[in-house]
Amino acid sequence: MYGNTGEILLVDLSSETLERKKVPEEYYHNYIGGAGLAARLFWDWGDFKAQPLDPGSLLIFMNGPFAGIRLSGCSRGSVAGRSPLTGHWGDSSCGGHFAPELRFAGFDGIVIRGQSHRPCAIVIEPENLRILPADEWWGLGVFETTSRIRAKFGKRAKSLAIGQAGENLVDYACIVNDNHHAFGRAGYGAVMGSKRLKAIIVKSFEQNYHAADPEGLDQLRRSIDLKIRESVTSQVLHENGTAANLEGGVHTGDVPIKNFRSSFWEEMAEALTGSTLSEKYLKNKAACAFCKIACKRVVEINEGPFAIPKGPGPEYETIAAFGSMLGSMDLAATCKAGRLCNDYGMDTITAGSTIAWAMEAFEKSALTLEDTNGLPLKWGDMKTVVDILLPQIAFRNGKLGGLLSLGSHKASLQINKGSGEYLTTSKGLEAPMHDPRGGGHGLALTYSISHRGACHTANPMLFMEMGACYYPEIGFEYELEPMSEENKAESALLAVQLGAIENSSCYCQFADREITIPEWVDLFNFSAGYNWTIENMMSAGLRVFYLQRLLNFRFGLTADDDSISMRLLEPAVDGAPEGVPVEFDSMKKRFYQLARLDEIKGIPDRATLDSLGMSVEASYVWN
Amino acid sequence: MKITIIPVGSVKTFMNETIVNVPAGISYEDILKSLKLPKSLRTIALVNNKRPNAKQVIHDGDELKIVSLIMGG
Ligand code: SF4
Repeated sequence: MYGNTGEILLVDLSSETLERKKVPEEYYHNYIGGAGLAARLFWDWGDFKAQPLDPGSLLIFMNGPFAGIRLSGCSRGSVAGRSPLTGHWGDSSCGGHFAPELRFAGFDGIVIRGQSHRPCAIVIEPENLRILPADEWWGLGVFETTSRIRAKFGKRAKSLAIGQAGENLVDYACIVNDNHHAFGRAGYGAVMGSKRLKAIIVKSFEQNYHAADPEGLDQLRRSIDLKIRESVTSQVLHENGTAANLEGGVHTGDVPIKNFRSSFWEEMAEALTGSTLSEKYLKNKAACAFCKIACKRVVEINEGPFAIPKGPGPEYETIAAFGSMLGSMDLAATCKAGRLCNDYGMDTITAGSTIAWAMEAFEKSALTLEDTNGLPLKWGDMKTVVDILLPQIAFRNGKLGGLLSLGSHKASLQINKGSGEYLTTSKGLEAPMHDPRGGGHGLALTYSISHRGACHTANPMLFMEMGACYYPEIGFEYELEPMSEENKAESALLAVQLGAIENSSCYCQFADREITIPEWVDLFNFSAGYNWTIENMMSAGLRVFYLQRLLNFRFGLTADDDSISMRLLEPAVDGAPEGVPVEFDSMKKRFYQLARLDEIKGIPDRATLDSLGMSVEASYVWN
Repeated sequence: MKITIIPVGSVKTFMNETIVNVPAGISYEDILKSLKLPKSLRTIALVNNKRPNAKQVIHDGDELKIVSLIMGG
């Protein structure tokens, strides 16, 4: 096999066994790798009755075929399983350095089931696979755990670790690679915690990547890398990070303010934007493996209530989630909140959004002082967020910490009192920091149809609406007007296929905008030898999109769940999108027709599944 | 008539805020074209902080913001 190794590591933590397992070659051709292959393996091996934190649940880490190629943006990895936050199928992507190291150690992925009787770590070294007791790391944050791993296994070892939030089963705990990169969304850190798995450590000896056409791949890799390096977007991201254009986003109405209640705050725009971060706190730039863009930030704050030593800095989502979303324009506070979340191992989007929901609930008396142990929740009060709320959530301390550790959706179901109106979710997942009303109406559609819930990385709709994509070979030549429904359903049908291709090949959305459709096909063929045409590639993307929907159908989701909180659809009250309605229902209806989805079940009809070679899967959902 | 053109976000790399004289009846699209920003820099325009209609005419004292569309994630 080329590119992929064809092997995964199957770990049963209950019986403490590790086994090398071959994956059928056609699975790679049909489901690509990463998120798609993980969905396929769950379909075969998963226990649909097991709750996300039950020992019987599966946690699947999966590489894409490109992990290990010396090319910007192509060495991310996926984790997937039933999400503790949403209760249904989900996945999450992470940059950093783990995925290529896993490939170099001989594996395309790791599938974990069972529950260890004590805290443990999985260690993967060539010819030395083992489960180690990790009692001495249990209770530590991610940073201390990672430094102890480095002390024990050497600096070259790459690790995934959970912090206290994962151990305490916070529903949106994340998994962190090398302190800086996170499988952020949907709570897979809690799944690791439930399995008492503190860390996974991988160390290879050789950086070998066995390409189908080494010369072809080398040429292609060089030319794509050059385009990526020279693009304006890459240069902007390199200079000022992913928050480089936060200021622009505030002006278009893309950046949510105070729980998506406002769409314009000019003073905040300059205070939180990427160039301000660079001027005030940036110490270094950092990158995922082989990436020349280096959009990651290393920051230091020397004084004030939010002082932090030199270390991982926030990206755009974290800055908005702990800044504008909470009614704050204190950039130092976003850095400190992000740093704490990295150490506790918590998703910053859900953490910030859940706190924003709580602030609004408190303002409107759905949460009272009795619920908060006497703590007032006020917009912009970042001392309370950093010093009290985040630790309470990570340790699930007290009534409030316990409530907010559930995420906003479940917390609102628990307290009711009309607090569902303050949600900003789809399928139980908090929306990212891109407001569909200003960022692009198509986002409302793609948030709602994403299998894991409101998500801007499930597909490139955000980039398509801002005009960063041009794919004539597959019919995407539209210049989309963000604040309109025109051509959004048509674009979304391409977006879901492209998103499945991106997330299954585990390619970074910031880097792959420069890659043309023919180059994508060549990348798959030269690296993994899939021998695809454009049509084969797009079909694989569609197959993955459909399989993820079939999984969710088996978890009980239907067409009604392809919905989104009213807050994200109500006409904005200020800023550029003021008063413009989002025509959600008509976009969804049109998308359902184009994607041949059943209006009740929300899954593709039998003939469509048959045409993609999914007749066996169809028989599970159509009688 | 005089209008103010304000670059926002990454557009600042390519131009500074400026007050310009423009002929009456000019559309914002014509002004945008005259700025000759790099094609790869995707932008949208706001007239007095609102999205203009396709052929919206500019008036004396208007503020034209040119906003870049490179979003973070
Ligand atoms: S662009 Fe940023 S997030 Fe993407 S691979 Fe490069 S360094 Fe990582």
